[in-house]
Amino acid sequence: MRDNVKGGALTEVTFFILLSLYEPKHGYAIMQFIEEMTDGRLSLGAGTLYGAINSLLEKGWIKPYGDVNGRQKKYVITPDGKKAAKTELARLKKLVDFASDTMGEK
Amino acid sequence: MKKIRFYSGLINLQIKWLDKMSDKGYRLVGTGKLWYEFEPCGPSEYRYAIDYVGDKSRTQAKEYADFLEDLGYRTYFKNINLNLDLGDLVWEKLAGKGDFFADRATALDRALLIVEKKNDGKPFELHTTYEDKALFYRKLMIPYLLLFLLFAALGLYTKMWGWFAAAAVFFFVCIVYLADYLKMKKYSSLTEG
Repeated sequence: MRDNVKGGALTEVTFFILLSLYEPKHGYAIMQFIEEMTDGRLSLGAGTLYGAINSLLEKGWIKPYGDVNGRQKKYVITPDGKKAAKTELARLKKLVDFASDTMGEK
Repeated sequence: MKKIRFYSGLINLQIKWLDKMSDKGYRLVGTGKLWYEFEPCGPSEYRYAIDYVGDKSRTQAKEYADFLEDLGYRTYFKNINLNLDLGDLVWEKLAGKGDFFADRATALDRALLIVEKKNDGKPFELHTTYEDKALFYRKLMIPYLLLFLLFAALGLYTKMWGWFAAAAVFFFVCIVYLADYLKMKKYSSLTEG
């Protein structure tokens, strides 16, 4: 999963995974969360999810939660992950404001 | 029921065949070097996907398989089916000549991960972003490129046509995956998300 390094923009998948992990969840629950939140528009394959989880663990934006040796590993967002999510929210808000102004929909 | 099938690499054909077996009421319950074992199930009860794990260490591949099993899927490791009599001979010879080749031989022995899920009517895909799909095909291309080079070199060295014939098969597979890779790469640059 490649997020935009220069612009700081996250991919939709990354942002959704971070949002899903404000409450600890295992892989299946993350997939369900994303599908529900997007009304089925974004359906995440297990391989793609696995790659995204590993990349977020590496960045330190999420961490394992609870019994790390047990089956059904759970993950939760870290303070760094929350910071990244907040930055993304601010970027999106700015984008929406700009779009609303430009399109005269305010 | 054991079925012997040989695939020289085209993963899509393998998936289609496994889905067809499920349509006929047979689910996969085991794999060996050249065989697949099935037992009866309801018609079209399961669907299959295959991932390439030849680039992962044994532990990493096992971790990935565990992750998939946690999601409720069943997984089976499978060799990439390069064990032609010819290929076997070469790999066995090379495996005795140092860790690099031994590791490659072991990796190819468990390079594919067959994944099974209950058929819910939706397509079964493990990789769902173009970027991820491009990476999948790029990784899949590498073992075939190595084999093509190896067999072509053997052909040049021994001046025996048989090696070139095998090299041509691997070259063909390589080209198919290269085309898939380039297609996905193009899509990923044209589309967002």
